[in-house]
Amino acid sequence: MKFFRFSDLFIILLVVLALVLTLPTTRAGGSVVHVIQDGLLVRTLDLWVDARVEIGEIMVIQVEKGAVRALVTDCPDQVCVRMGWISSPGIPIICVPNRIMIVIPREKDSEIDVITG
Amino acid sequence: MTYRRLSLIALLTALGGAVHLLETLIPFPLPVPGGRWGFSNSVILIALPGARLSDLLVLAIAKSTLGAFFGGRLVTPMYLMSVCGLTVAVTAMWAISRKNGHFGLVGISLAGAITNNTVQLAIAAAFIIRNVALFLIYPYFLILGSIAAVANAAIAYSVLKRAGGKLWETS
Repeated sequence: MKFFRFSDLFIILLVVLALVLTLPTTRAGGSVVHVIQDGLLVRTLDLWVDARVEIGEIMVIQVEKGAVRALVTDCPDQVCVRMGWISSPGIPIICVPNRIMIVIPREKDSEIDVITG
Repeated sequence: MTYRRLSLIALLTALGGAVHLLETLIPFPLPVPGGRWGFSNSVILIALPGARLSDLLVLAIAKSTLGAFFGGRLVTPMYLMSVCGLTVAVTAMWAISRKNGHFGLVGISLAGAITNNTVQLAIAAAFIIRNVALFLIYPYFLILGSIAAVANAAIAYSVLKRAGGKLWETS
């Protein structure tokens, strides 16, 4: 089997196309943060109001000066806590064991998220 | 089942399981629980030329299970996601590599990586996080997956070159 063939270019093109279609066009986020648990929007917080919020006794999230982080969580791997602060859309904070996602929605799809969430 | 097939599956499973376990030590830049590079999938590429689909699936699932068992991830949603993604990806890779000569290892490896990423993320978005906003991380997965896929293709190519093409043929 050859390492590279001409047809591979089509697959590379497909990857590039998928990238172009899914890469965020804007990095500007709204001024709110959504906490989604089990697919439901459980909290909407203002990014510019400093707060510490407990999510169902399994996680404490902290909002400060336009950024948000998971402060405490009860799961063993602590991936979300080690991720630190996020202040823009892009990569949301994800906790698979607790099925929680903390996401700053992009300005234009703030409303869509509320509906699908 | 011939002895050659049995030993080849066993050999590649052991190799894949070991790589699967060792690669969790390589830092993964995306903060996703259970996120891995996927270098262990190079054993599937090595096995691909001339293989039966059933043998490939046995190899893929056994490799994942072995790696997950020793990595302590056997009863997590991540294991389920990885097996589902791998099953679909292996079938896709087998399907496009059948008509000998259309795609090279790079193309087959990339196709497998995209399929795997898409299926895993779709499962997470549908059953675990249950929100489509999870697809915000999709482009980052694609970039990292493609890097690993090309690396896997290079590994598989150099192994196959030394092994003389098809491993499954009886001598």
